[in-house]
Amino acid sequence: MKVIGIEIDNKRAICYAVEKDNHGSYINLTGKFKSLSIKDDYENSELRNFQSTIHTFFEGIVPQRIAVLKRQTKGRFASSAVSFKLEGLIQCYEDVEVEFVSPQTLKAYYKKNGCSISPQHNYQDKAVQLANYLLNT
Amino acid sequence: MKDDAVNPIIRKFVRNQNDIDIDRYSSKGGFGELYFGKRNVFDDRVALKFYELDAHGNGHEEAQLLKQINHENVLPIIDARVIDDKIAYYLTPEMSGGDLQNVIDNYIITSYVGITVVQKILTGLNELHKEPNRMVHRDLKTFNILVDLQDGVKTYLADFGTIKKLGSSSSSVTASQFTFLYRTPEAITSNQHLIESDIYQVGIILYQILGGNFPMNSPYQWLKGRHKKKYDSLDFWQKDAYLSNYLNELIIKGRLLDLNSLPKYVDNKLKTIIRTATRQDPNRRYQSCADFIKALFDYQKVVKDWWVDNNIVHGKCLKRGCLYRIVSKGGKLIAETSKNGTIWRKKFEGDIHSLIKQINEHNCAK
Ligand SMILES: Nc1ncnc2c1ncn2[C@@H]1O[C@H](COP(=O)(O)OP(=O)(O)O)[C@@H](O)[C@H]1O
Ligand SMILES: [Mg+2]
Repeated sequence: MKVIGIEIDNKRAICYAVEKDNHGSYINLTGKFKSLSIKDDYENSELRNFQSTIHTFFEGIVPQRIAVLKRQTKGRFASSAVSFKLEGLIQCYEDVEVEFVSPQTLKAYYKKNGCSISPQHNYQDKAVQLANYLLNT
Repeated sequence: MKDDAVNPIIRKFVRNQNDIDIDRYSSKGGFGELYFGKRNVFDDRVALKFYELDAHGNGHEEAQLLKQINHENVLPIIDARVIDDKIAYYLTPEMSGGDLQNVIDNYIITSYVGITVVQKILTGLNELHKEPNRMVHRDLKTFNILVDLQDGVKTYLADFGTIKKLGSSSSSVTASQFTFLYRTPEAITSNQHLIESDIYQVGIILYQILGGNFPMNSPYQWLKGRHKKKYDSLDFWQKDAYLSNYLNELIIKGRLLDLNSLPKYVDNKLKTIIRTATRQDPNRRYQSCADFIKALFDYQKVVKDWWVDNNIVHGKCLKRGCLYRIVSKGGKLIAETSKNGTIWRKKFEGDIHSLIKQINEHNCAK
């Protein structure tokens, strides 16, 4: 099975694409898409390009599941508005339903389970946890 | 219509159509005959590509593939019909710009448009490469990309005559023998064509569309110095073999493209993208269309749009439309800006590379 976990951090989407093969080994498929960021969220062409670029990435992988880490929309710890724009563009992908997983759900899961994948870079932490969660639930 | 050499069955057929006014024949088709015309009911233009069937009535693969692949950046097919036991044709929209080579030769293509066209090519190509299709095009070149200039620049992958499916466990098929300038190092050395071979060919297209020197119609221009002398001294019947050997060598050594021939605004980052796509070693190229598209996306968002008109380098901020140009005044190169293209103010001074860098980094909102 192939999955993609995504954490959106302000103006960038951090992706982790991974396959668990029939022998239970994990193959990292992320390639150059460790992160995809935009510079100016008021530039329409850039946002359109963001959408087609990340969708092409999804199409190349053909994942069974894609999930985005849920962020707060309100309150003191609300995430930046730009991040929700990027999220919307990701949601427009039609080949699989984009799921949302809350940090609480992840936390509860990792209290009882380990993560079989170790990230290459620290910033990928959440995306990797999310991908591993998708593969095993 | 100058189609005297065409099979009389086809000539008769095109003259007998009531629904389509066929008004143009193209001798460009290498394998099939191509005609263009206007459909009366829909008042739109279409292309008819005729092809031959074998004794069993087979030969529809190209039309069937086009039908199978539905994508914004793949030439749509309207219909295919058999007109005789040996001849069939398929019908597609006629693209107003013709092929990409025609557009490169006849229009000013800005860097932004050029990069966008290549991204579109890659998006269409990704559709072929992806599971479960796993197909390679094998003959990507400017002549096999069609462009519609009606609104914006729409880009379509065409000519599916060379497409092959990769086996479920193999990542290569035999290379196609067409168009030797686009042949990949791995085609020459081991007659293989991989996903990365398609990537390589798109890399060449990127180089061409950005204005790199690629004298397709006079490939002897690649010969320099003693090689040129040698070529000139040969009898005409030896020339072809010498030239194709020489070009094969250039391809294998990764020296076919001359990145110095690109306009100055094609900076090192963009050259690196071309270089990465066209590396000799397939393993060191972009490993997927998505990776290639991403590199272009990351590049495009931090630079201005650029073009050359009348030997003057122009730049533009895409968001606000502010204009830049680089001119020589009193023996010095300066960059000027303008809001409207009529009143120009001096902005920067320096050599060409530093001017381009400063313009790329300039925030015209401030
Ligand atoms: N639908 C079309 N609209 C405009 N031009 C076309 C169209 N189809 C083909 N052409 C022109 O005809 C040329 C040859 O067509 P192509 O499908 O590549 O055939 P071949 O297999 O003979 O190379 C193209 O390079 C292009 O110039
Ligand atoms: Mg062709």
